[in-house]
Amino acid sequence: MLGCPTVERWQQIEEIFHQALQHDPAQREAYLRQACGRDAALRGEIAGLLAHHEQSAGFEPWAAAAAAQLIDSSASLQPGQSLGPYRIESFIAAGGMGEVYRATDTRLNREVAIKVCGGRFSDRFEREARLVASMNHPNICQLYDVGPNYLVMELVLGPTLADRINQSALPLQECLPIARQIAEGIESAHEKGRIHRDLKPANIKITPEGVVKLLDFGLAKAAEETATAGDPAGSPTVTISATRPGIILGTASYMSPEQAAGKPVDKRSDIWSFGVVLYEMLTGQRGYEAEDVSDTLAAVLTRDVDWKVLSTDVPPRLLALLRDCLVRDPKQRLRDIGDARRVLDQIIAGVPDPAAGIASAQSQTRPSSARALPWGVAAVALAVAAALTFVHFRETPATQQRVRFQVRAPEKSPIDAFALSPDGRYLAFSTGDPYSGLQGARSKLWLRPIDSIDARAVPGTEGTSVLPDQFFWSPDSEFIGFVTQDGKLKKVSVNGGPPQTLSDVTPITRGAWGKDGIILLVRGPGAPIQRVPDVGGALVDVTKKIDGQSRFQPQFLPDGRHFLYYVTRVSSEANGIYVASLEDDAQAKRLLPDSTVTKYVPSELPGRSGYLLFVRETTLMAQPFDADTVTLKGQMFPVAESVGRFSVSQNGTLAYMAGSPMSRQELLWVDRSGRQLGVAAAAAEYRSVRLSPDEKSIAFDRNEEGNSDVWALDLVRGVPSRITFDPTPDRLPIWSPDGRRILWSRRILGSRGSGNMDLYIKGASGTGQDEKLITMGTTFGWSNDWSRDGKFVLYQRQGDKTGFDLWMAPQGTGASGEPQKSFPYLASPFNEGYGVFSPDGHWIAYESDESGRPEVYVQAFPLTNQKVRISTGGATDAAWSKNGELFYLAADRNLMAVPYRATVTTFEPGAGKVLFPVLGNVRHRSYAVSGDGSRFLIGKPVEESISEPITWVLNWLDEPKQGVPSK
Amino acid sequence: MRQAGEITRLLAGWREGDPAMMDRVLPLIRTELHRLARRHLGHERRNHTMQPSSLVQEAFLRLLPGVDAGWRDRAHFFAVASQIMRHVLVDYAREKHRTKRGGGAVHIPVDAAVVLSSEQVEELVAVDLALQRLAKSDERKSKVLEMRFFGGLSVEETAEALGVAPNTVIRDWNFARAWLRRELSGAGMSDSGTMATD
Repeated sequence: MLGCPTVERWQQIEEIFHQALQHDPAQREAYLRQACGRDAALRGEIAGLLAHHEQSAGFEPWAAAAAAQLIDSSASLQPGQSLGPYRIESFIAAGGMGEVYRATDTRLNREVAIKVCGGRFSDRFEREARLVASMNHPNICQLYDVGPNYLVMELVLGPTLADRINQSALPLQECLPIARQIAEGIESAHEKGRIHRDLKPANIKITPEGVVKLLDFGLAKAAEETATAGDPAGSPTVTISATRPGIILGTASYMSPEQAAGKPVDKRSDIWSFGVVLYEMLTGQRGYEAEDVSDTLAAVLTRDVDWKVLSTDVPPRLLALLRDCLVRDPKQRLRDIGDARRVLDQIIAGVPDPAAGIASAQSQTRPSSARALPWGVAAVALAVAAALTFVHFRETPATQQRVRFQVRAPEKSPIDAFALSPDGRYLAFSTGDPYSGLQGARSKLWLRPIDSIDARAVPGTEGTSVLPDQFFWSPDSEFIGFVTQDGKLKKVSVNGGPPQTLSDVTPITRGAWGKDGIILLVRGPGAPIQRVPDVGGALVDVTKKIDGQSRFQPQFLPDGRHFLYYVTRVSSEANGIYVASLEDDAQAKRLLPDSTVTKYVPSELPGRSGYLLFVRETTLMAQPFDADTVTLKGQMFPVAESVGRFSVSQNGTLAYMAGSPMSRQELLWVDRSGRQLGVAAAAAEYRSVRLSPDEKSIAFDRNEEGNSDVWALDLVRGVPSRITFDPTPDRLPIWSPDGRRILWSRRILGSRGSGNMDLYIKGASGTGQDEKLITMGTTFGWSNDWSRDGKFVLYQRQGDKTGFDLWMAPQGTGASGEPQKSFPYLASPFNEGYGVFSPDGHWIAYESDESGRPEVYVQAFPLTNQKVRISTGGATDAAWSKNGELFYLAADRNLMAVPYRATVTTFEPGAGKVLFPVLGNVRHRSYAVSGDGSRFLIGKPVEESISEPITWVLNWLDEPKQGVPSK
Repeated sequence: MRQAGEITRLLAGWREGDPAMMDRVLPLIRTELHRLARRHLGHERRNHTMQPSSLVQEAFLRLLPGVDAGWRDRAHFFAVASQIMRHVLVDYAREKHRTKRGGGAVHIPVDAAVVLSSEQVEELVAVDLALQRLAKSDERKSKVLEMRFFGGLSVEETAEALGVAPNTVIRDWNFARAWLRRELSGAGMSDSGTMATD
């Protein structure tokens, strides 16, 4: 049948589709056969839809966000509206700084153009703009007035040069007068000391009479200075957002190399841009243009324009002028735009070319050939970073400006660990918190080239471990070694190809890669440092194991034989940063008292000693260090503040995170429609929030200095108290039924290289000792809930072959006084977890992925065959109120409320109701419900992204400024 | 606010089946959406993306203050806003698509703050076409997709706007998404562009 399906058919398809979804995926096929009978077409139709249904789960409404942005970016003033004395007549265009309207100055009855900008101008911008307004030249569009958020300009009708070039290259006789007028406009401004800084065809208009008008003269500078005025360090901080690179895209092609590199610019920068515009007029194509901003800037910094496309009828004098403008080194470039104007005058006037004879020879030599820049690829990155913001151009020369910018995780997942490649060209990072779901394995590695805006997932790395230094680069920056959650050491090439398994290790192994094909590993606390060939093979001890001494995170020195590591939890005398050699463990030497990851970086300057980098408190410190003699040199100095974790390349690039994988959020009380009732707690990091039984306090965990600890907060007084101080990760607190104690899971690093997680308890005031309450006997598990009668603690732990299981730990003693043993409550081959007791303790709501994705179920306790599936379409994070409702977080992040009727033996859920969407990306402990089910505690991220960015710093060392001793 | 009464009247007219009312109300709401988004970006969160549903929410509150009884007005407002957002986005995507195809793409203005990947541009155009087809077979489902996908509305807001139960929206959303995914994958499309049946 052609055309639309009949209504009946459509309904039939839909009905069977929904019925089939209610069945287990494994049984759907059988169900379809039965439901569709002999109608094979119908069956095929529905089977196809079901297959696509699975894919459509991740169908995020990104379009809505894009639409909101688009609406934002289009015209916002209507004809007839007034702006001060100006009346809007019509919309002309939208540009980088705002929208342009045609308007009438009602006082003078003069037509003007008004550029309306997003926000109010700063005083500084206004001052700057008023200076611009003092320029008056026929080839410069006159700025008449500066309003609070708008500029009033001479109305110039006619196309822009960009529009004109769009049609074709300009014939010489058309090109020359335009070029001459451009040069004359620039010359007049340069004479008054004004630099344009943003010269491009889109900023050049040609009136119907053929008069050229330069727009926005000097405004780029005003905008830049305004944009970075709040940055005290003067080094631009940039957030590279994938959604907004377009802001400078139109400009990058015309930036001078010094401008692109973030260096100070002067009038010679305009001369370069003039050259690029002239080139484009003559050829009809852009001199510098690539797929994206970073590639474009890389081209500006490293390549010449394509000279071959210039027509042969371009006069030699014009060609020479063009080449003089497009010299990458400003010192060698044409010094004065007046010279360009003079040459153009002569060509137009037909003055004979005295140099005609040597012109052809000149064109053989490549001006300013692609000389390698002293700081290589970092320059490109610097340029990208610089260009992605409005750079504050310093007026004083700076050889290698320190530039920082931020990298955010794709998919908004938190970044767990990261490592810069030794050559500084790549940042590898992992995403996916193993605590965040039953599928801890969804973690994976990403690779972000420094010259690209996007990170790409590295195929085959799903299930990678996520601790710092669990992945590490080969010295040639070609491979990443990484450790998987099932305990394999693998390597993968940045150029693609599947990962290769090198050795069996443990899931918490950390390592380092040396230059002679040696990988050093520590399989866990107390384990010796071992070596393994980077082509795979057996592990061999490098250091003798010393009981109770935990060595961590070896890092090689440049000779490939010496390596650094740190020792912790022995005694304060023995703790510290050590250096040892592959050959002889006896010569291990203690360098510093800190017990923290330490990395060596060489100096950029020849003959200088390098540095040891490590974090003391939250400050990244650099200690000058001579790697040849393995000795400290001179005074240490701070490099960056608020650093939790860091990574460095061997050439002056640094990446760090403040240490908390999630940004701060406010805790809000909201009602059942999601409407805010009040702020429960001021912005801070709150994870895994649980409300106390009296609803006056919360317990949560928080990451500080790279380690997770449990905290409590009195919501009434707003006073936080820290519960754990231990250097091991403490997470996922729950309250005792009387609200007087807090139970949490702690990962204790075991003696055979694997971590054990057990449940600890302490008074809710934070006083007393941490006491182990329950031994879970697993490397991975945590507390879920405590029954209200106090008799059972429910926890989940990883089974050997059964995924996550739910276990019960009875509290108190048995009939004959002996402690009671924990027992499994649910241990299917699927993952079960995140269980919560119903108020009467007879039912447990939990999450299972038996249907292929997480759904919420209810089962009786003690176990009977009563099992009720509560959700369809994916759900997590179940919770009960005390008055007959069960809540869960649906896959679309809506919080659902399900009324129910239950006795000791029966459980009947009613129809679910959508309450409100829960912000963020956390799927567990994303909300807390009050006992009466009337209000909810939810987090509202203070920043848009809830994953903390990595700060990427180029030229972090700024060496000349530091008093670094030479060797 | 001056416009509140007018918008209420226009929405009512539209509800009662006067399509001309829709043409009148669209620019009013669109202007307000612009204004709000601009105010937000300009003053508060220069580098932040406005959340679409809060944009719509706020526009509603500003345009129709005190129209408290107007659950239905609110719902219709949301529906209209979703439609606007779809048009804005699809127009933009088509423009992108066209310039990409027609060569000469190098000089399209890139000043607009929105940058979509070429896959997203393709997808938007395809989604719009598919929605037009879906509307012929099942208008409600196409509306559900429009409000959820383009308007960023929650299940409940969509349910309000359409006057159906949230469960119905969830069912429609599940089915229509699967259908749409399949359409976009190129499978199951007959020549007439509708669902293939025998």
